[in-house]
Amino acid sequence: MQEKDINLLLQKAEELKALFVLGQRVIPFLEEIFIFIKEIQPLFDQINVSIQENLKKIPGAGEQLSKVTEANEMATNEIMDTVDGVIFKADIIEKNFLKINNEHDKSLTNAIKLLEIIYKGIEKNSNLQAILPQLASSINALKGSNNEELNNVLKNNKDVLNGIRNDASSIMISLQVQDITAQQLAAVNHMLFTIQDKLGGILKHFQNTDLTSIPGNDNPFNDTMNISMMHREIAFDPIAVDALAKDGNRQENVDDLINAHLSGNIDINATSEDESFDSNDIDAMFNGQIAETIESNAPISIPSITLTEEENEDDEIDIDALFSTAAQNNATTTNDNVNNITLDGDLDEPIDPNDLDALFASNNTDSDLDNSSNSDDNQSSDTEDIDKTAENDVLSNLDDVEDDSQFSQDDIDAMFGNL
Amino acid sequence: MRFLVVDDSPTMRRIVINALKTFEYNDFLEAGDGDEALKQLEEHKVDFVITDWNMPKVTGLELTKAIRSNESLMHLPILMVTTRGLKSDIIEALKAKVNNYVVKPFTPQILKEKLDAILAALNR
Repeated sequence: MQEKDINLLLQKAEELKALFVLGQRVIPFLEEIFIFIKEIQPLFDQINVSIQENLKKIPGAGEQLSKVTEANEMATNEIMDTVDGVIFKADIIEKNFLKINNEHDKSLTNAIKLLEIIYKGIEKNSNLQAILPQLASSINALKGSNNEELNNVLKNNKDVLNGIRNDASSIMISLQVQDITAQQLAAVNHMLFTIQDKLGGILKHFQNTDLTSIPGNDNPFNDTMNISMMHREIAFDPIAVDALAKDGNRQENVDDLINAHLSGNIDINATSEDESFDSNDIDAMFNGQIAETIESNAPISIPSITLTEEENEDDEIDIDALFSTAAQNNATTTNDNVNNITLDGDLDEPIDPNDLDALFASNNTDSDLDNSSNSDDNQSSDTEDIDKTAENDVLSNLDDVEDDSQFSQDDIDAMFGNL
Repeated sequence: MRFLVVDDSPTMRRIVINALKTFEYNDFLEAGDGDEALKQLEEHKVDFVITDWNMPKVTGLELTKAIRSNESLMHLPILMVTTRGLKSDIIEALKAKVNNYVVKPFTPQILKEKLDAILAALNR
């Protein structure tokens, strides 16, 4: 081997040594970065999961608002149609009054004519016998003066006025939409509160940590920020607007159930998930309308707001547990990966090549470290994993939720088997 | 006959009262929630209660249970008028011992029909 080669080798060795020394100097910074990522990862995971879940609720809220608009539109059109009818009936009444007036004028004219005849006869002191025919004619004219037509007109007026009363009643019925839509809007408002609460919690967590304050944010989030306040407290049925669906059977279904109870065909105290009813009884009660009734009350999305306000608290607790479980699972994975990268010994000493290999090998294979490099594909796969975990947990939790709107006909039959 | 109409919506109370007026009932008291209703019941004699379900503070269901557990009020006829139409809701209402149940939106004729049915049952 020539001297030139040896010199080249030495030069390369020196370069390698410099590289290793640089690596040793870089390692503390890398370690700090790993610790930072380790600390911030759970927070980002929590944010991701929370935002994902809250985003899922927003289309449901949008759909609810859309139903409210549709219901208001429908009720407004119904009211306008009824008002058109009232105006038309008012025109009829006006015409009838004109007819009555004309008949009244005719009668008055005949009466005046009669009296004039009598007056002239007395004035001229003439023989009133001669004017008797004229008198008789006038009296007959008064008697038979279209009484039948007048009676018909009066009856028609009465009928039209009753029609107007019915129209007023119809308007009152249509105005019930105000209460129904108010409940629906209160449900959406409640959802906004929930979302604000969750996101606000995350923002406060950010503000309370040493990690970062939101750059350029002069108004840190606090409890006084209340974005949604209704003009009065409204208790709500979250699916109230479904009552406006064109289903004329709702009251009938209620009546059937109540009548069945009153006649002793069902025992309401035996109604529980452990009790069973005769499916024939149910069919007889509802004439096969159970499925439609339940479907019309079905929740819009999962997670949904079909639970009542009283049940919402339980549902929120489940979701919080779910999120912290999901975040912890991911944080645990992150911790494991970071902990696998242990750096032993004095950092001023030359690094063991095996340690260096382990360091860079972990970088190439660990998904969490891939996340730190902001690889979109890896981030989305992790997010998908979280979503799947969250979805599976939500679905398994919903199995335990007592919500008859989610039961199929078979579930109901199994539940209400035999009395 | 004096009615106590209980609903957190002033609009709905007015609609119920207007419907009853068409049948020539003229004596009404109003309450905005179950708590207010119980106070009205303490202060005034009432012959019939028409109540909504979803109300703040004290719901219609809780009001019904409170009435049924009060010796001096337990025989009051109660008609539930609500948007809730699930089978479980109706069973819950029956367990609380409402006399009858109307789902919103309702017509005055249905209200009258349920009223008459309750009064007929009471008179037997």
